[in-house]
Amino acid sequence: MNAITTAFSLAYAYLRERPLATLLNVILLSLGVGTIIALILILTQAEDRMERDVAGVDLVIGAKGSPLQLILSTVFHVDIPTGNIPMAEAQTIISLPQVRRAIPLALGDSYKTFRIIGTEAQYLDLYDAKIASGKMWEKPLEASIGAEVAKLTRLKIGDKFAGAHGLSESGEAHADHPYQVVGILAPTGTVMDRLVLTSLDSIWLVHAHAEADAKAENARKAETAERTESAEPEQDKEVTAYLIQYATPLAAASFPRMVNASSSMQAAAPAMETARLFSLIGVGVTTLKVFAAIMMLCAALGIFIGLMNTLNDRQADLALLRVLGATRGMVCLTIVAQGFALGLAAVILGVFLGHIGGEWMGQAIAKTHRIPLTGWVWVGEEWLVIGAAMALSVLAALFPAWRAYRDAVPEVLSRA
Amino acid sequence: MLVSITDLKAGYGGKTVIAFDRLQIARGQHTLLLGPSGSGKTTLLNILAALATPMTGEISIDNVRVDTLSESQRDHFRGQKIGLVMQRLHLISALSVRDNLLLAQRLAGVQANGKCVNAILEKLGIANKFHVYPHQLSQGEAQRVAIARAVLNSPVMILADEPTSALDDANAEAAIALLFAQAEDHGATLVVATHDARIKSRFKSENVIALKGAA
Repeated sequence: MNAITTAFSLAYAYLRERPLATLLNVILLSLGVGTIIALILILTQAEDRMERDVAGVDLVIGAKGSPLQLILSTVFHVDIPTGNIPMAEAQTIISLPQVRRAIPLALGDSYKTFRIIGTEAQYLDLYDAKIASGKMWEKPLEASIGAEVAKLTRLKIGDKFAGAHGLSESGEAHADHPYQVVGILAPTGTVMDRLVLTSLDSIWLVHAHAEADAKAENARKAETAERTESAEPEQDKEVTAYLIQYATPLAAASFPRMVNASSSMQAAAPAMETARLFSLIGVGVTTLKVFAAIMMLCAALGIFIGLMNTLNDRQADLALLRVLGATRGMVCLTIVAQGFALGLAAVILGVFLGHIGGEWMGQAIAKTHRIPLTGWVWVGEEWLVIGAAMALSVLAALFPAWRAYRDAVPEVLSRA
Repeated sequence: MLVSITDLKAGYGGKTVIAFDRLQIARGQHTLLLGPSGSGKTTLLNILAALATPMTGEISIDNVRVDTLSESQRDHFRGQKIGLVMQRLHLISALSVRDNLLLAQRLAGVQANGKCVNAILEKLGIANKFHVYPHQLSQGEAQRVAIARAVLNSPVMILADEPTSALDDANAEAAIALLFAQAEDHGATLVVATHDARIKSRFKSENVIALKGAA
């Protein structure tokens, strides 16, 4: 123990003797470590988040268009929907025996960028969501809101608010059909926290009027307004999508193909689309990771070169250590300790930078996509990066240490 | 006897540089190894410091058979029992004067003792250099610190390699006087290896060993 503290205090003195070289090595290595950690933090959380959001959804049936867009809009609620599908046509498909559960979703409006979703109570079951206060929506224009919506909009039970058309804040307001908050959901850590949930009827009601008003302004026939205002026949009603759970895993083999081939709708599997999404992002992420790894290797090379350079200058110094009673192993240890100390300093700085960077990226993403990502979490993979950085630093010191180990003291002294 | 050497043959690369049938140094018998460069005095000094092992021969220092010790045992022995002062190489450049001395204690396996270090530096008149780094010291000051370090762990023997050859007459005299004083003070036996004949008068003539190298 005594030998180790002595070796480290010597290593510290040696590193301090060359502050600029030491600083350069530490910064280079910590930038590599920080970059990789920031990427790991964001990706792990995003993947985690998406996995939870996909939950038990095997398949989404919606309007034709980009399957990725369909999934992004109806499962993750980050993109605009591909369009609507007639309930009547969907009914024939979701009543097939392969389907265990089909949850309808009607999208289109938002409140302060939080989406208003017309759906059924079973949508909550998908995420094990519970009502924290108040109750479930029952009548049209009653809404239960997600935990985060409640927190950020400060809406309370009994409050009224008007949805805006579209998904941005600039949408035209449906001021004549205000919703009333009747319940607030407990946090689930999923997309549900950021949703305003209401009945399908509410959506139809709001939009029927909107359509009607628009048509009335165009001096259309009054009967159109009458038709939409009265209870629509079932076959005219539209939803945005159905979230499907299979009755049997075997359904995955043929069911989507059947839907795509035999109807005007499209079926998209969330698992497949998210995998595709990650393979698209993956190229960029891999590039960044490789870049960061190269940075770490350069840093290790810098440590190696630095130690080799000082070795020549310090040969006499190291011989003097032997004169004072240090063993070969001890001399060796002071050099390995320099690599270790550089690595440790870089890792501490790098982990710090990585988490700050992660938080910064997370906030940028949260601002635009309302996906809460943060740098203030710890991911197991970080230990791997830390281990790799430490191993590289120590490895870089091994050869110089061996060179110092080999030196014969009398020969060095005779040259000094 | 402090040092007892018999049948010594030493050198390097298979070449014998010095050979002795018998060499003995009693405790308190301050000894001068005098000879021109290449005469083997440094080789002998390295053997006395347990830095090098002889090709043949038995060496006993302070009743320890040094030639039978392992390398790391010799390192520990040297750290605890022997103080070395060299011609130019005095201090670890990255450490302050005080840390240099504290390091010598730690490497010898002695509990680092700041008080003890301060006392010695004060006694040698370099107390104001506690926190100074070696490059800020003059050669003479650095040597004083090196002498302070050599006696710090109360060694049985102080070995000095050419302690005066780089110094002018006045400083050479001061350096050798300090070595003698410190050796006496700490009850250590001083062994000086040099080609500098100026300091010959300091030693009893029977304690001057003239080396000519192995013929």
